[in-house]
Amino acid sequence: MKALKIVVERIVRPIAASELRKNKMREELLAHLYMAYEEALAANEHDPVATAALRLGDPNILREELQAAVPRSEQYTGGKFVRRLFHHLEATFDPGNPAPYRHCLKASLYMTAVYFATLFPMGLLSFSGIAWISKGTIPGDKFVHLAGVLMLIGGAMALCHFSCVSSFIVLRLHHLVRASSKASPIWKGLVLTTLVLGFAGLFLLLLAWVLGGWPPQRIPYFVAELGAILAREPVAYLIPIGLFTLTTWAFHVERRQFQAWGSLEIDE
Amino acid sequence: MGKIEKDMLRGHLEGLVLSVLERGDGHGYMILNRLRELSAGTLQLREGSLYPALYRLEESGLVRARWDTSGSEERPGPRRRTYSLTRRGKKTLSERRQAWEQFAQVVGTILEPAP
Repeated sequence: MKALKIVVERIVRPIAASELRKNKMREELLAHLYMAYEEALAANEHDPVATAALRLGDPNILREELQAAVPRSEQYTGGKFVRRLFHHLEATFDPGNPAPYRHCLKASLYMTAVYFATLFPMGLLSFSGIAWISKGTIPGDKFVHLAGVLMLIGGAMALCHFSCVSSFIVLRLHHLVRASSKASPIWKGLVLTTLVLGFAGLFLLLLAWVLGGWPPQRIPYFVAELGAILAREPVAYLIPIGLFTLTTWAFHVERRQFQAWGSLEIDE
Repeated sequence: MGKIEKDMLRGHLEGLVLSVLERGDGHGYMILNRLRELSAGTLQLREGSLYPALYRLEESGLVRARWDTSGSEERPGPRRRTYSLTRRGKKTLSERRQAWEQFAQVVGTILEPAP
């Protein structure tokens, strides 16, 4: 069965799709291969695994066909975006590549555009929310200020992401990624919750900076106000608890589904 | 009868699968066997290519799938997914049949040897 699973995993693992969909593909292709294998075995074939695999057809073509059957939105959320970025980065660090700077620039611009497109509506909503809570209106100069700060955050995050990924490639730290995928769901949930809350806190502080003008004199007041809100509304503590429970559960489900397949060594 | 290769099947596989499922529900391997039987072994299909076609049909709501866990004690091996035709799938199949008849009639007329 392990040999058949490896045949399936070589086809399915590189597909950009949700793990849920990939598991469906894995199980279904494995069931098919298993039946083909039993037939080959009954026919006294010399190598029943190879015969069964051959019946599926060229793995590269099948992978492309399966990829094309994945909805476009899921292709991107399922890793096509990350894979494209890795492709750009690998091309950048490939000594035989004639245009490394073009690839480098394209990848960082792509990241900046994505971060900005995500951050701007988020920031605008928070800004409007805060203005609504304080019963004020949104002044035009503050809006311009906010846009500038968000662009800076977008650029900084893109640069940060770009440096992290490129360091991983240059320093060949792929084993760290593999090790992190095996870490306990509670640990991963805790790290993710801390990161999300940390970034959210940073984001709120930056908003306070924008609202408080330049230099950021109102930050201490804003933090104190936030503390007062938390003290008044203990229900706010449910946010980190809920986030931690949700992320831990999601990692647990992911591990349960992926463990059997993810641990297979598929290199030929 | 000569073999029908994959290139000649392009664009028709989904219709063929719908037609096979009209005769009864089935999992991937069963659908392929039925296709082979119905074509008297002339269809030469890369077996893997059936699954992307089934996923496209499922995504369009023309077929529905469920995991078949029944009889797993007698039958060893991984669980299978059984596909069945939806109402929309039946309607699409009937439309494709009409389109195919029209196409076959037109092409047949053109391909007829000159008198």
